[in-house]
Amino acid sequence: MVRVKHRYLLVNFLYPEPLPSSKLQDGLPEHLQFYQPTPDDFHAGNLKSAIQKGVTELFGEYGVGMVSTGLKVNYLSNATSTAIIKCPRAHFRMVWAALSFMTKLPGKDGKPVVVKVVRVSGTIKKIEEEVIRRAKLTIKRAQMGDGIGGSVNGIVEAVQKWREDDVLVEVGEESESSESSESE
Amino acid sequence: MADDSKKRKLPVNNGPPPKRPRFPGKPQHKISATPASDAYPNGELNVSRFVHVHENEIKALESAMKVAKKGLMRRTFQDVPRDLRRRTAAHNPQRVPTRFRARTKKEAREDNVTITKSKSGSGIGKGPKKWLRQEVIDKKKKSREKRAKKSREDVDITVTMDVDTDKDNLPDKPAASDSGKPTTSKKQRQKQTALTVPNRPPAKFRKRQVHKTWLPTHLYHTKRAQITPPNEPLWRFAIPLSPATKSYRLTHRAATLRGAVAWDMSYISTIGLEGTEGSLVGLLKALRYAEEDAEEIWDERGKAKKWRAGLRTWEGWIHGREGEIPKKIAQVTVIWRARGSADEKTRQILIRVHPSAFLQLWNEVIRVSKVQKPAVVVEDLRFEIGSIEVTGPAATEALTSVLHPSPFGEAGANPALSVWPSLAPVTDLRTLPPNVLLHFPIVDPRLRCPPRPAKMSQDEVSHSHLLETLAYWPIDEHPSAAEVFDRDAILAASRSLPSQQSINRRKSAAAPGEYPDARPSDARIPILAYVSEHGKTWTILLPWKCVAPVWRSLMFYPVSTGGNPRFGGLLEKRQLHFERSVACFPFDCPGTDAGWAWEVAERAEREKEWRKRPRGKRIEWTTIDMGHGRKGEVGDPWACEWERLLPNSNDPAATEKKESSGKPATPLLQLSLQAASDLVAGRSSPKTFLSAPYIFAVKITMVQRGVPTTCARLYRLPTDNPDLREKWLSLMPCPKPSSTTKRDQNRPRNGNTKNVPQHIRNRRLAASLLERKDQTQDHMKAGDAEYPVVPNESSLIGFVTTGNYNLAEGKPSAIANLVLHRVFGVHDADAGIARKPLGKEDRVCIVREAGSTLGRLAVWDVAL
Repeated sequence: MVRVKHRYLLVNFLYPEPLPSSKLQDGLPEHLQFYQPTPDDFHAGNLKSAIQKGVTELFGEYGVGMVSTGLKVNYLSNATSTAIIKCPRAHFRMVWAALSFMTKLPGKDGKPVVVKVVRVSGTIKKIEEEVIRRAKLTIKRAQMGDGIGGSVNGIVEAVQKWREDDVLVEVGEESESSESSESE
Repeated sequence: MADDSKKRKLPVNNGPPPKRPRFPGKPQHKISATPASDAYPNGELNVSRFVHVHENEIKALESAMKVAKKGLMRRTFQDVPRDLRRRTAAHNPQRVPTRFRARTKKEAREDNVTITKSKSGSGIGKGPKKWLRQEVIDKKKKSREKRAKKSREDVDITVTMDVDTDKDNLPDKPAASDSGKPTTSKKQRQKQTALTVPNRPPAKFRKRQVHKTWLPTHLYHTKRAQITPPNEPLWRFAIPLSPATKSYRLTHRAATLRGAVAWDMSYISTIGLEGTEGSLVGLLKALRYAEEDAEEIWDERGKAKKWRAGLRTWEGWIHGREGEIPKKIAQVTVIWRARGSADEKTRQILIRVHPSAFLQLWNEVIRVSKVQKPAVVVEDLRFEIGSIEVTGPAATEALTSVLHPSPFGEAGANPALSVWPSLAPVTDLRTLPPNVLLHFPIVDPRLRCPPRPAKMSQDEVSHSHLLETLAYWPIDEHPSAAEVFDRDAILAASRSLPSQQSINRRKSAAAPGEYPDARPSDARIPILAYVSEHGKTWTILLPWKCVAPVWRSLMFYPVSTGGNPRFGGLLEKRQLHFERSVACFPFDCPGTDAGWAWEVAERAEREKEWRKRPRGKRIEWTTIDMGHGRKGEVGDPWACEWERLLPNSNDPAATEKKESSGKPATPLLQLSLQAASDLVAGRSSPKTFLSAPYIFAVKITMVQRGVPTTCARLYRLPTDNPDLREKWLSLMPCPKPSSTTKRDQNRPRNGNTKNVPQHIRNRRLAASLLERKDQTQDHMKAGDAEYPVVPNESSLIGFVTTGNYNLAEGKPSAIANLVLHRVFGVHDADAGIARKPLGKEDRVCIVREAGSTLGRLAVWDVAL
């Protein structure tokens, strides 16, 4: 059976800027701040239009035409700042690019945000499994009190630390290795 | 009226309900997510809330995955267990297991599938007549109703009627037994040499057992297995051939990896002998019992001593007395009864023999028994002792749970009672002493039904205890007489079996989850269990009538590795022998009369199959091109035609002999395994055997491709045509040295590619692509013009009796029989170097399927 094929992207919204100091508790782990909840006024529709806008900016009308046919936000959890986005298989890189170039949440005074594509997959099941795996890890870290300390001193440091223990993009590596094996 | 006619007619709504969409779109499942304001009420961030939020997310996604899986449409036939699946009529509610019937019906209705009820099968009956016994059933029902009505009308009359019927019955019973049934009356028992007649079946089933006997578990098997056709019983029994479910690979797995396979082997005949030890030994010696182990069987030490003490069994070939060369009759198991007390004069033995050879052996035994001084009493125990065989890793476990020793009687006397339950963890029967034997009375297994998993403690102490038991085998210290030999005990056990009704009553009176309490009046079923078939199988001997209850219990035993024990038929028995590359009596032994009769029957069967096909669709044997201008199949294509291989095949004596006696007598002589392997190893000279038409069983292993099947012809390499011989030998794969050099060449290329620079790798690749393929390295393929033709008929040495893909070895193999004088005669004539052991090159042969022009290279080896 022939079917239209898609790619699913697992996206995390990270917040480099600390919360307003009044609401901040002492002894809050660093990464917890990083994984702040997303404001409720940001919803699936917002995200979709933001992506479309980004794609237009980067790839023009052609890009929007290619991408918007299968674009859909399957899951957006504001409390955990996680989203699953469905997009056409041939052009998922455009969506990825648009997401990577997002610096602020849409809206008048949007919060500064880093959008990180964590995983690309052909089935939603694998993405869901990945979300569960990551959530479990996150819980463990939060409970262990990883990175004790008050506010974040420097974003650069925090990012550096994250980079050490977190693989940024797994898909890129795989494709690279497969290419190298082909050349052999 | 006019108005009415003008009105537009409403659509009539009595058609079929709208069809269910065939491919409904996937339902839209939304994964629930908590909004941030709910998760953090004041926008306040803390660890416990953070953890809670993520936990919720995990839950949400897990449930989403579950819902998505549920949303997939699954048809019923996709949910049927794998071994119960079928392809044709998979959608038919009549053909799926009962538990899926309602669901399938619903699906069929929704899909608007027309379902035709089959015209065959037990439910409806065949042909236009439908119910086969409908008339009889109706008549019986009517008469029953009439009788009931009558009895209701007049009570007085019934009393007199009862008396009448009783009177009628009383003289009836002995009359019936005189005509057929064996009785235990003194007069009859004196005439010991009479053959037993099967027990008189209940009236309902009597007509169906005129020419055959049902096994005690017949009713179980009729529902679940293919049984021999009603008019063609095997050895006068209705024997299950194979389970109705898929079973080939499953049987292999259950017998070797996990689980167990059980057979009702009640059709194996038992002969009981009673006499002094001297005359019993004399009888066995006269029949040349176990001639192949002649040097140890009559020893007064070791396993022979234990065998005669009734602690072990012995399996061996038994021979007829006639002729200068003794003819093999069958492979039999002999069991001695242990002495009850030291001063007992008479001893008893049981001989277990396959029913195909029973009559022949019986006649021989009768004849020899009369010669012995003092005479030996012979008894036919065929329909009194039944048996069950169980094999597989879970066999012991299942049996220890099902066969529960009876708690009453002299407990201390029999050490088997304490040993038996402790054997449960044994998975490989070869850890037990070889050919070991146990006997004890058991309770009625219906009282302990459904059986519970056997208790298997995993701790060190019990483990070492088990090892100790297996090593020292305490039963050997205290031999006791088995009750199975006691005819009265057997009859008592079968008579005292309570009805199912009373068992149910006792079970319902018992506390929930508990078995009913044992009573001293309960039936004590004497059993005898022994390990047989090269330590692979448990055989249980028990009274014929007690087989069915034990069988039912066994079939419902929950195996610790999952599932229940499987059951097998005749084909499964043969399959497991084949997988172990062991010749199976009588199928692979055409050198015995029983095996020959089987072969003759199979010939007729194969010919019938061939004749059934339309002329255009069957092989025309006469036009098969064998190369070099030879046309037509060698001999009868449906047969393993041994007659052609006899040393002087145009001697009329053999054929005359066959015609004179009604039963087919084999013209061949079966050579024992021991003698055959001696010959091959060069330990003995074939000269002594060349005078008679000896055959011996071998195992065929294919060198290249090809699957040997029954009736395939075996050729030796041609001796008269050196060119052809060379051609065939060139097909043999190269011996090891060349292959290692090949690997050496490859190693630098493939081994460390990472270290070699890119341009060198590319150059090597190009070179390897351009390299001309070495023709001599590659084997010729079948079908090539150069492929050698099969040798002449003068090189024919034997036939395949069983061949297939062998699951145990993962490649095709076969059991065949070779004619001795064609294998060894040539060597003798050639150079007189027969004393040299046969190397692999001497054992190369060519296998050609009947009806095929293509030969395949193979190697034979003496079968186990």
